[in-house]
Amino acid sequence: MKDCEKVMLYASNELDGTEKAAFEKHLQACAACRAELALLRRTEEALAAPAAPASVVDELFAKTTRRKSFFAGWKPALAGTALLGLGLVMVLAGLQPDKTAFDASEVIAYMSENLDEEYLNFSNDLALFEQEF
Amino acid sequence: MDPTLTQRTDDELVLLFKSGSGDAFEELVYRYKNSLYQYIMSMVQDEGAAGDLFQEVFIALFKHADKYEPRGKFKSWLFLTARNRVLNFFRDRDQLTSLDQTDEEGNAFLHDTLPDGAPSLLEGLAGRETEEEIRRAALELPQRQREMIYLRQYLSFKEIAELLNRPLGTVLADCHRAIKKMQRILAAQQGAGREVNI
Repeated sequence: MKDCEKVMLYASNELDGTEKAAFEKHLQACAACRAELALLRRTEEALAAPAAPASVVDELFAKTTRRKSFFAGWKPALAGTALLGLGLVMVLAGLQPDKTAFDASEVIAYMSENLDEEYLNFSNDLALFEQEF
Repeated sequence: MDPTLTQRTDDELVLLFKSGSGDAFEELVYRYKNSLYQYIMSMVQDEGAAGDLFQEVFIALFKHADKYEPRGKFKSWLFLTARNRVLNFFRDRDQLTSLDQTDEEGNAFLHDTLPDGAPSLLEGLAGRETEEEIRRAALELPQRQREMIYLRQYLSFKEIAELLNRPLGTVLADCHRAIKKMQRILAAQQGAGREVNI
């Protein structure tokens, strides 16, 4: 690598001790390298990184380390709904008749009564039918 | 936040983050937010897109830190991830124009063409241009050269060569061409300024 080609590495402090000393000697004699080095230094200063917008960084944290769990905000509402539902179930259970404690004899009597009535109607209809034909 | 985190190396912070420390992740963000944002912004030239891409890079780290191998190259990993996001951004916008194009200017390396002892245009410029003029000149560079000038702010040439998968000599030549191009832009700006003053 020619001496002039080392100006970039020199600017970035990437030459080892011997190379650096040799290039500094070259630099004293080479106006073009001095000028290039000067512009490189000025460019480093001019392009010093400005701060990233705080809003962008805040938004990043909101999406990562400070992200709230999906259910976190809903916890009180979910707990309230669950309690309300449980209370409602208990109230309704208290108002409903106990369907397992029915009186079977009443049902049989009701069904028999209806059956008898239907049977009588059917018999009457049959008698009328036979009379006509 | 634990004040000792600022003393930790990048790899130590990644390991701490892997073990559940959100503070370690935030320290990494604080450490690189300005340089990374500036690099992305210099490439895409769009504040909204730069903000989105910046977040995407760190969200990739947040989600896939387990895939990161701690070999002391976190900064290179971060900038490589950013570069890939920028490339995708241009692909999406059909603007993959010049990031990986060969420079159209086949200048001889360095100042071989200058006559011995002649003061170069660079020499005449150095120190007179303002920081704002330099920033404007950097933004006027072709994308490949602009990338080089900005990456040089945060990475060594050896790291840049590794990041871009190019020979060190190519990277040095690109940076040299970038500086020469800036010199011409600055000379033109100052020439125009003088014409206006006259």
